[in-house]
Amino acid sequence: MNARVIASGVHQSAIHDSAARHVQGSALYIDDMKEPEGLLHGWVILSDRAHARILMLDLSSVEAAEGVVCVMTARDIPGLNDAGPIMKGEVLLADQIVEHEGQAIAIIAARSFAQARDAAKLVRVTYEDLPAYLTIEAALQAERFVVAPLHMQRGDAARAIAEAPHCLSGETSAGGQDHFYLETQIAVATPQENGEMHIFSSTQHPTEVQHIAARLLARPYAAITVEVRRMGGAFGGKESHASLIAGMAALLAARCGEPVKLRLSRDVDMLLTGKRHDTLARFSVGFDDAGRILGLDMMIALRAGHVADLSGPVLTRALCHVDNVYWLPNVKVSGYACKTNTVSNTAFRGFGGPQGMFAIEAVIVRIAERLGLSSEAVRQINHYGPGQDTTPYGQSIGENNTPRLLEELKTAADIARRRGEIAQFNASHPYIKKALVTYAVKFGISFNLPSLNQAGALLHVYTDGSVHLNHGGTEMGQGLYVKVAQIVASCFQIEREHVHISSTRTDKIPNTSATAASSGSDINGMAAKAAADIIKSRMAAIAAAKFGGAADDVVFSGGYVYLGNRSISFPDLAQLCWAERVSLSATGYYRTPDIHFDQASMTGSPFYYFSYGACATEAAIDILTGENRILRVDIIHDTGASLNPAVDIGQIEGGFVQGQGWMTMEELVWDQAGRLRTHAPSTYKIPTSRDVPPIFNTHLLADAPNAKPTIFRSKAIGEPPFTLAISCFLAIQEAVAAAAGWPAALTLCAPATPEAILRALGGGKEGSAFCEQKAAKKLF
Amino acid sequence: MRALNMHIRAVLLTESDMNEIHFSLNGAMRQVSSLGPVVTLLDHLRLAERLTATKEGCAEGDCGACTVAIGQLDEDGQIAFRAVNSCLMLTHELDGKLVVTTEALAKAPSLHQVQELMVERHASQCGFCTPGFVMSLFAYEQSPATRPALHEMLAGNLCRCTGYRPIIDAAHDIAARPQSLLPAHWAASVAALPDACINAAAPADLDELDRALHNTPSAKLLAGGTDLGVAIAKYGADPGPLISLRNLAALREVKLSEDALMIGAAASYSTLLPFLERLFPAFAAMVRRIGSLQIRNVASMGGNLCNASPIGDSAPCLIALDAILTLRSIHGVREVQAGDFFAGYRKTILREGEYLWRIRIPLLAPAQSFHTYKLAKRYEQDISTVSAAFRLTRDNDRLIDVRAAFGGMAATPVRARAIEAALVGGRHEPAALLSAIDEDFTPLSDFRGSADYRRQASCGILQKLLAQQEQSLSVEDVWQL
Repeated sequence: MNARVIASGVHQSAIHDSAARHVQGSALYIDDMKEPEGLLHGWVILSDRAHARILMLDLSSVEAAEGVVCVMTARDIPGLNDAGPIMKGEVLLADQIVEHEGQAIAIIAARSFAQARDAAKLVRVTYEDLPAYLTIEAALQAERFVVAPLHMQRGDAARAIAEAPHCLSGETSAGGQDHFYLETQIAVATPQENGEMHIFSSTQHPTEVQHIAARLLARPYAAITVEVRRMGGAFGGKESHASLIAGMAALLAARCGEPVKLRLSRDVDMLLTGKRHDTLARFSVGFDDAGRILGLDMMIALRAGHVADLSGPVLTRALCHVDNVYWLPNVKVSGYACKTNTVSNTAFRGFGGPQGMFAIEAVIVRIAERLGLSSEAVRQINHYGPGQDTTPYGQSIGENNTPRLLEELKTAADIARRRGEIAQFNASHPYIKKALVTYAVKFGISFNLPSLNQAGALLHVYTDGSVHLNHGGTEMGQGLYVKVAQIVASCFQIEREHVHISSTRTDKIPNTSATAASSGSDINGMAAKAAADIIKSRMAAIAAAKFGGAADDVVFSGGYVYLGNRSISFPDLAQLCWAERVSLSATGYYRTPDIHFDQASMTGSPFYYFSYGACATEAAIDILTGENRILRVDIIHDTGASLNPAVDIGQIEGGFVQGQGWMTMEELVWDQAGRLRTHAPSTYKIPTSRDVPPIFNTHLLADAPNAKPTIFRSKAIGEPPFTLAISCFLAIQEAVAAAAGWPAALTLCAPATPEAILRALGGGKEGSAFCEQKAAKKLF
Repeated sequence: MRALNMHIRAVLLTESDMNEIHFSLNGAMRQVSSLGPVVTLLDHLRLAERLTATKEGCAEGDCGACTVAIGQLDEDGQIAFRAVNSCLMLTHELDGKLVVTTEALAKAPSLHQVQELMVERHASQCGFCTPGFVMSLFAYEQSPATRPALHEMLAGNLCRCTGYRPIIDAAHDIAARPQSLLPAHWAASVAALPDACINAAAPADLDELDRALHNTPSAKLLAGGTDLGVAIAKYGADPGPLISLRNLAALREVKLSEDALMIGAAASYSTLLPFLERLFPAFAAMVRRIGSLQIRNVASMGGNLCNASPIGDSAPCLIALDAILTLRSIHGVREVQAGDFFAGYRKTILREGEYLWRIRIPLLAPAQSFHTYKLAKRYEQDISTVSAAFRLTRDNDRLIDVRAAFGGMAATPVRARAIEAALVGGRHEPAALLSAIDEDFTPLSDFRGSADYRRQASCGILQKLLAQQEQSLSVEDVWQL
């Protein structure tokens, strides 16, 4: 028997399936596709008030403008004016009341993009302003929430805090974050016969686009087909909010009877669609002399924006990640999704997890400050360990890779030597201070809501041996398509070039979940494998009949199918199956086993397993200007038996740098009237190549197959590495402490912009003359 | 040589020839009317040509997804490339030039080496920014003698997926390889283009410009167009009458005399950077943080000054260096101090029909040194929260004169006389510096920074300046680590 195995299956660093087309510009995004005849171009007219009653909406000049074909408001929607992904009543187009600046009040279709854009300027609106709640604090005080508060509890936190040798209270906050996918949101809706509609949508969630378009148009789901080949980045921003854009395009297309493309300008995109939830956390903690947390009572409040959207699940995940890698014997966490008159925040890589994990670090550093311990020592002593390995919601953490990761990191990052050098540098430099932190993360894999953890795939084997692959997952750059193709190649033991990847469509795979929660390859990969296994068993039966033997003994390997010392090539066997009238097409289906969660009590085992990672991050700050830089990052990440190491390293590095942006420079600023002042890259700054740590080493944890029987024992990768970047904030905070002491450093909030750093160095108060207090003594 | 014969041939043009603009797109000639409405190169590519590799990510010259390479023939008939933002470039400005887009690089079945290295390094994920990176890297690959530092080259291209590491690796690979050969028909296609389009909207000498502006005083002068381009690309603004400076070599001259550097107002930042590098390294450091390479390849110092932004980074440098601006109109020329050029928020003292001709920067005396500081949320390609420039004059070790100017602290970039006095007068303790700052400035709060931060950080800048004077520091800021 030939022992050859294929070279392009799982565990190989296969190049992204579209890479050669990316670099030539021949990978087509929706705006690049050939335009259908008669295509109209959409534009969205936005509210410029945070909270107001529309007294008069005069669209007559818009309608009369050159090239305009149709203008629609809430009243023109044939079905329900409702784009809520979970809750009902989240309007697509404002009807009488606007609840945030940037809310859609009307949509236009015109002959060209420029005509639509220019016509929109002619709208005349008279508003009556209503009281606007802009901040988390304002909404908390008014008890305005988009979903009922959540409470998670284990043991008796209040009592543990009261009886603890030490206790303290504190507060921290982190800002929001725009997704800044490079491709702005876009959809092309094309009316078909019989009231059907085809929609190309840049979406992570084709099924939801289908449902919402159907709801808006008052059509059955089956009348709507949604298709997406690739997105130019998504990061959660195209999970629920893609339906807004696709829904508007579908409405305009249905009204005009012509295809309509709605491509948002960058500014409209940033004003109309949601972002990462900004966070406020307050806590009381009781602890012992060694810094062990005995009781924690924490409140986490998220700025949800004007409607719930996904804020409920985001809040749930935030609460489920407060523990991170720490054992919290007595804990109570309350979560509030605050209703504010700002754009509704939505999914963003980590989905609340990073916010919860950020919050607990404020507890750690305050304990360290109180006891005069290093933050590292306090982190260490609170890590999960044997017998202390159940999360606050009652799930056993299973395999715990944190100790191994941190141990390997010591050597990989040369930590002991570098700490000495940093101390020396800090003693000698008058105004630059450095710090190094080590940080470990744990991230729960699966959608919190068990029903979402299912996936489907569709495989056809053709008689030349080529394979058509389709599944419910979407490609946003994360390499899902290539990973699933590797899986199928491995199953059939044919080289991956024979596996043809096709766009995600609701008419091929129905009732899908969003490609989200890092679950894409876990669930779609399993579904594809299930489909492949069905076809393989049929093919094996034919091979067994041909060669005489048992189907169970048939082996697929290296492009051939073997039984004993007989073999047949994969294409020949496919041809033979056809001749024998055996179906070479199958759907595969997967549901994640062993997960359950009770939302009412906030207990259960919502996660199939946990992903782990650790990093050592070194930062430097300039104490005179607040300028800062991440100098070196060493990461070891647990990807199980990686499906594609190159793709996984790309996710780790990319996620980290995105998180670095969240923690250090990306700042959303609203003015007092609730107008977003940072809605384009000229004002909203994401990291550039210069900001990437000049030394940036990423390793995958070796020989660590997933203990759970996941797809080829791999682990999910999309979100967990993002959370490692919390270390950027922690390192900067330690550097502030090195310069100005811990009490000052504790006032630092995220993002740690130069201004935030300088303010913290001055003790956190506006107008505190830092240079008078500190630098004077140090410098001169 | 087309460019060199431009002046001679201009007089021979017939009326109809005069209004056509010709450029080579990936080696094939294209013709557009110079009298039609302005169209950005990006719209031309995507809408008229249906060449969709080049993307729109922001329509304001920040994200770089629209990057293309613009080539011009040099004296040796070789093509010199620079990366530009096609979203801000108007097709009129392409007269006589070569535009290369990502589509034209690969020679099937093989990829161009820039593309190949990007693929090998796993440098694309979603791929939307990738064509822009490829074109920045292509321009970089094609200019081994004048390559900018790696991050300067990459700063004008945003990627949200990869974290840049593989792109940086690909750039290192490219730097280590010989540049690739260009298709022969590219240079030939440029050489074969008809003569330059010269008319009242694109005069060929300063006298013509004087007349054109006199006749249409409401016309805007188009130099790099990176500011005007934003209004057009993003807001669909009608720019009104435009006079393009593209044919005016006289406005792009950079000359060094015995005692001064003379900069033509329309000279691109990239053209003048080598001079600044040699004569005023701190000024060059500031300029390298203005916009991105794509912006600096077309944007000019004159344009930066005439826009009169409160935070234009060149202005504080020019004020602190006692630069003289020469203004010109059909009525003659006059000279003003750089510090007197700004009349208020986004206002200059330019009169109707008058324009900025050149900038004269006196060279530093041996006893003088020049220092600049720029604070922003992000190091690269960010508008300053505060910028500052200082020219120090010493007598032995004693500071005898300081010329200081700040941006971002007032409605215009402005000289800081109380700060100068405090520095010269030895009042260096932070409280004294702060009170000098308060005497000079009442900064505003906006999304770039609060008034308090601007005040505190200005104090920090002054302390840094002093610390750097008093101690010899091997590391002066975090970016040197």
